[in-house]
Parts: sequence; C-alpha cells; structure tokens
Amino acid sequence: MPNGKLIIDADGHILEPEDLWQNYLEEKFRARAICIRRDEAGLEFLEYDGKPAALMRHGVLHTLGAMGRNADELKPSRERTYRNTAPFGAMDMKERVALLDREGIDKAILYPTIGLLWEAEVEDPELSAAYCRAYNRWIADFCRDSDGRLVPVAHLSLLDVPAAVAELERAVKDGCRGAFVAPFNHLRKAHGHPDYDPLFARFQELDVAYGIHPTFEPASLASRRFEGLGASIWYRQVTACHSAQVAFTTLFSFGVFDRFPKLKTVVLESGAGWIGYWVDRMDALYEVPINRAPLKHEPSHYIRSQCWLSADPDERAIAGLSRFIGEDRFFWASDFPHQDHGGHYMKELTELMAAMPPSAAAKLAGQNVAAVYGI
Amino acid sequence: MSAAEIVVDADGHILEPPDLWEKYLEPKYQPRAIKIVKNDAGLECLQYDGRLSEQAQPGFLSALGGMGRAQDELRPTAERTYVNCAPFGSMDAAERVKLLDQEKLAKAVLYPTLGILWESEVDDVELSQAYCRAYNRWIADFCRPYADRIVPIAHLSLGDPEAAAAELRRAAKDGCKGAFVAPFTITRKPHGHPDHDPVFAAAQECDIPLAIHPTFEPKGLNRARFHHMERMPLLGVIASQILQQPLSTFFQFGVFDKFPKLRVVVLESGSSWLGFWMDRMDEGYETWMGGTVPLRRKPSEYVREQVWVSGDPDEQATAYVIDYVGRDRFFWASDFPHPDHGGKYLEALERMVAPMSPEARRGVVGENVLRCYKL
Repeated sequence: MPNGKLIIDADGHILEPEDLWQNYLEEKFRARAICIRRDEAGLEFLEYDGKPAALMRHGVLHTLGAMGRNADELKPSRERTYRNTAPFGAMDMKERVALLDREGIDKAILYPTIGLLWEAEVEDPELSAAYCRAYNRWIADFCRDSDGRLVPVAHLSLLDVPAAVAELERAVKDGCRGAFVAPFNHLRKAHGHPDYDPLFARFQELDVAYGIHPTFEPASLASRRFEGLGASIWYRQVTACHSAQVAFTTLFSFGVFDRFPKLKTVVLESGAGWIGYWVDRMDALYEVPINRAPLKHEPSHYIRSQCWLSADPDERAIAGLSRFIGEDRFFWASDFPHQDHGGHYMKELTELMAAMPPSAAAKLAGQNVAAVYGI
Repeated sequence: MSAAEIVVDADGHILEPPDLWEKYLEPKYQPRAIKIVKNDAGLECLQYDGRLSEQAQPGFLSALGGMGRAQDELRPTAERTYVNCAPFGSMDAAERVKLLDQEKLAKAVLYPTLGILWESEVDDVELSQAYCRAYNRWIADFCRPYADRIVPIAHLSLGDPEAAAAELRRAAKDGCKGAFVAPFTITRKPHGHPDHDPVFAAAQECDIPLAIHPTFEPKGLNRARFHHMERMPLLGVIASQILQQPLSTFFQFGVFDKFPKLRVVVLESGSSWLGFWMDRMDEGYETWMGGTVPLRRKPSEYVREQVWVSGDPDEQATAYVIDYVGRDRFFWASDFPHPDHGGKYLEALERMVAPMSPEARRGVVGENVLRCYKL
C-alpha cells in the first residue's frame, strides 16, 4: 500500500455467478430468475422475467469484466463468455482478496454487475424487490468469510418503499454495510420525494450510508438534446455522470437533509470534481428568491456534513478542490473489473495522492470511506 | 478591483427594444416579427411568428431586468412592463457605458435577452435565420458609437449551417467580435456534427470565437428523469450538464483537429467543472471508447488551447482548479440585468479571485477575454 496508508476501494464490482438468482430467489420467483442464455448463433444474452434483455447486444456479456482490454476484444463473440473471460478476482472471494493483497488494498466495498443492468428493464415492483433480496443474500454470503476485506452493500429498488425499508433492515442484519439505489425509477418519482422518508429514516436509524450508483437506464429517460449519438459511446460515457447528479440534487430540492440530519449520502461512479461547482451554484440558487428550496441552511452546509463522493483515481482536479470542499468528502474507487475505466487505478491513485497534502491523501485513500461505512 | 486591473464583463445582457424585429427584419419577414403584446388581463406576452410564446409566461417579461429585486417585485402585474422595469443601463448604450464607468469596468461583451428566448419555440429554419440577422444588425448598430466599451456578439442558429456561416461572415464585417449558438439545435444534430463545419470554418476564417450560451429550451431535453422537474428548487444547477453536452460533441466529432484555430467559449453555466470535465473526457479517451473519438491528442490538450469558460462571479471553487486547468482559460460575467443571478457581482468577483495568484487574477478579471476575443 502506498506510503503505508489505509487503502480502501470505495466501489469495486464483482461479476455475479450466472445462477445467482436461480439459487437465491425465493421459490415463488424462481421461474422468473435472471439468467444467461445462448441464442441460435451461440451468443450469450441476459434474460429477465422470461424476456431477453433489450439494452445489451447478444454476445457481449464477456465485455462486463473487460477492464483494460481493447476494442477488438470487446466484439460480440461465441467463444468469449461471461465466465471464461472474467478476470482473476472478479468472481471468486479468495481470488479477490488475493488481488487486494497484490495491489496493496486493505478492503473493497463491492457492488454488482448484472445487478446494475436489469433494473432498467424490469418494471414489476414485486419482482424488483425479489431480485434485490436475492442479490443481497448472495453478496452477504460471498463476503462473509473474507475477514472483513470485502464489504457487502445491498441493492434496493425504490418501487415499493415498505419492501425497501424491510429489506434494508434485513440486509444490514445480514452483514451489509449500507445500500445503494439506481439514479432513476420507473415511477419517475424524485429521490428526495417525501414518499421515501420511511427509507431515509431507516438508513439514519441503522446508521448506514445511502448510495446512488449509476445503472443501465430506460432509453426514455435519456437526454433528448441530440439525435444520432447512438454509436457515440465516448459521449455517452462522459455524460453518464449526469444521471446521479440529478438524483442527488433532488435530495436538496425536497429538504431531505433537514428531516434526516444524520443521513449519510454517497454518490458513486459519477466523478467527484463537479462538486465545487455544485456547491457554488446551489448556494447561489438558494439565495435567489424564485424557486426557494425548503432548506434551513445553504446547500453547501449539507454537502460538507452529510455527503461524500467517490472519485475516479485519475481525477486530477480533486487535488485542488479538496482544499475548497474539505478533505473529508472524497473516496476513490477502482471500478474493477468494468471496461469503462482503464486498468491503471493504483498508479493513478498514487499520483493523485502525491498531488495532495498528506492528510488529504490519507483521507481520500481510505480513512473517509472507513469512517462513513464503519469499517 | 485595483485601479490597475482591466475588468471586463464577458457576458452581460441588454434588453432589446420591443420593436427591434419589426424594424430590423427584412420586409418579407416583418409581419412575422417577434413582438410584445398584452393579453386580456393586461399582462405582457411574447409573440413569435404570430403565435403567443408558451414558455414565456404572461407578465414574465417585466422580470427580465429584475436582477437583485425581491420576489414581490418580480411578480407579474399589469402595471409592470418590460420597458418600465428595465434598470438603468439595460436598454440604452450611453447609459450602459455610464454604468460601466460607475463600476470601473473597461468593457462588456453583450448578449441578448429576448434573443435567448425565442429559439426553443420557432421551428421554421428560414425565419430563425431572419430573426438572428435582425438582432445582429441591431446589436452592431447599438454598440457602434461605443465600440471600445461595449462589444457586439452575433446570434447564430445552426438549423441552416450555410446560412449561419454566411451570417457569421456578414456580422463579423459589421463589427461583431464573436458569435454564439444555443445549447440545442433545431435539427437535433449535435453541435460537433460535420454538417456544421461551414460555421466552424467561417469562425476560424473570421478569427472570432464561437460561444455556446444557455437559452430557453424545447421541453424535455434534460428533464425527463422525474416528474415535475421544472418546478423543483435548485435543479437549475444542471446548467453545467446542458453545456457539457454540446461541448463534448466537439470532441466526439473531432472538430478541433479539423479546425485547429477555432476558439470555443462556454457561457453562463459555471466554470469550476472544467477541470472535472477535462479529467472525465481524458479518462474515456484513454479506454477503448476513445477509439470513437477522431482526435490526435487527448481532449484536455484541446481544452487548454481552444476552449474558454466564463464563470459566475459567485463561484468560489474556480480558484482551486485554475492552476490545474490553466490560468488563461477563465472569464467572469455579470449576467446583468437578469434575475437569475444576484446583483452584487463585483463584490462576488472580489471573493472569487481573492485566493488566486496576481497573474491568474488579472487573467480572470479581464485579460483572458480580451485575448480570446482579440479586443
């Protein structure tokens, strides 16, 4: 570990076993399990609730663990499968711990992979809650014997609030150290909406962090600004941070932080360097009489006390910004083994830490996330 | 500001005379002029092409010059009009120069007010070009007697790129020192699309910057995620997203290699996010997704040579990223006399630049905009 500091990956991913949902769903839902099938051409595809997934081409499930690979290796393939291309540490607990050892990482907080894909295409609240429960039971089991090195976080669907509240409670009892939600929901109800108050109350009571993590999304939610950018994958990647930014902002629009002054909120995999602008602009809007937000304090007050951001380790603007926002606000994350980030995260982290004062570097590297998640 | 500093407002507004389009449109289009009319309740409404604007609410026009006023004073009444609520310096060139004198500003670069409202509701490409030409002739005339103090900028609409390119050349000859476009296009073609190359070629040839300035927008471009987003407090913070989208398309389509002398300016959408955006664009460029970006170098290198950003003076974070992004990249702007920013912009500017080095500060308060616009 660089300079002997505590190093924690705030957002790593695992590739779930193909039969996770068949094994972990309650009996009643088992026939509707998420599974991987092959089409007539022998190409893998995902199936949710008996229907083929529409948002992913056939034959590209092998790209889900393709961090650092080149475009040629990401083409649809019969030979390359979800399982046979999964890199070391992506699917096996002991391997992942060995990978952490090799990289000098103390702990990793784990998020799903297939679990980030299905929600865009499953509108049934009951099934969504069941899919989440199945994943949550599995990830708790997966991490259980890792000696605290792998930290499970639960997935919650916002479509059924009482079910989400019950599941948060169950999952935390089972070992999960927090939970995350997608930046959208099929009801189009903003994250800050008072209907979710029972959920925020339970997060606060259990003293676990509420995370917003990007997922696949229904096409109807995408920005309609431009047409013809379907193949412009780079453009879609750079603008993908916009989803979580909007969901996060609605927590301020609805005054969530005054109602739940101990709620801890984390924005994941959406960059962190935007938060300086966000603080400045929300504070300025708060002062303008039109559209007054129902908040007792300026928005920056809540950001500096109840919000954390997980930075990509190659975000070099963070070094300066942490002097403005505060050293306590940032985590770093590897995104391993996903292909939308390069594979050089330890080198990048070391460079980023070198550009910061030692106290800020130590906090970014692991102390902040350890404090927020109590690990 | 010290007396030795050259202070330039990179983005001030004027309130156009209500009869501008009746007077400056070519005779053929005069019956279709933008006009202010009164409704049955005596409230002023905007009319484009014979239709009432849906987005500019009745009575809203009197608030357009309402910078710094209390909410009570912005409420629509039959007594309050666009003209009688216009503050000193917002409609008259000699007054504006006096205002600059009072505030010790060397120059102001001027943008429209009604001119940033109509484009979202006028689908007729030919009429859009005519509306732009009328404004551009007028703003050149308006600034002509005070050419060393107030700087005219042409409005272009990308719906007809050849016509927009011709208008850019005409307006530049007539005295305009730059041009701006909306963050959306009537055709929904991304800004960087090769169909817009004639406009980029003309801007490069005339050696004037091409800016993107926020405007009223067609409904639903960025607000489909949740119900009632229009009414949610603080959601105005997504102004950065609205500009990051068109800006990113310049990279996705490789505009900066095709037009290595093109200068692109981002206005009224904050500035401290530019470091974040450089990091994010580079990060995507360095993965396999960068293969879809036809640029020879990584995006941040073009940002540091060909992109400028104008900050809100109430941005505190900019000082903490300026050394990383580049001291020569940032302007500040008053937004006078619009009500969506506070009125104490010079005090705010003092705070914005206070943590900066003397060189960085000189650039931000005025020298950068002088260099970029060759004033």
